Amino acid sequence: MNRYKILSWIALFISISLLLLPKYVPICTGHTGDGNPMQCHYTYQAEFIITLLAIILSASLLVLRTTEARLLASFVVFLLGIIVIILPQPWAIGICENGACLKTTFFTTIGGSILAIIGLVLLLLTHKTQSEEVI
Amino acid sequence: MTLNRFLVLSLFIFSLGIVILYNGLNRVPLRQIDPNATHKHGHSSLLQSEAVANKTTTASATALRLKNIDIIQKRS
Repeated sequence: MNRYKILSWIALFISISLLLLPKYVPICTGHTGDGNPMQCHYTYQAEFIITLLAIILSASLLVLRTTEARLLASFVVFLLGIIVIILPQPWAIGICENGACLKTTFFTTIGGSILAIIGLVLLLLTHKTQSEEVI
Repeated sequence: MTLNRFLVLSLFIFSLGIVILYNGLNRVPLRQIDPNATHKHGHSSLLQSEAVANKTTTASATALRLKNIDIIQKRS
């Protein structure tokens, strides 16, 4: 099994972990003054959709055969990793100052960072392979 | 696995995820709140908060109001 396959499996595992994270490290369950859920609820609803997409794209890295398709998929995985980090930021959607939300965001940020790094490494690996093929 | 089969499987997984999201199975359920309960950290005027804290009868309401106005003047 080459490095590309190993990294693709790791990306898939990280994406699944990010999807299941709020279930095992839950965010707060409070409401705002007017009875609506707090912003951390909406952040993690968005995170769920993004990580769902990350799972599909990470799995596609194992299925795709052409270098161009692999380049595109790894680039999108990289972007999704960045989006995962950005969503809980106060200038995006944000989270509340509750300890539970901060804990979940801490793990989300670590997972998103790893996903982005893997996406970037896969991008470079595929680019290198493409260059070697051309030569 | 062929790409076509992967796309069908992905579509199924994505739809399943959206159904899970819709039903709220992806998270811990939100706390049930009493719709009539007031939020403790909301904006309230000094007149309201002082009046609630003192719990006076209607007879002494005017005196309390004057007292509250005095408190506001002192604070400002």
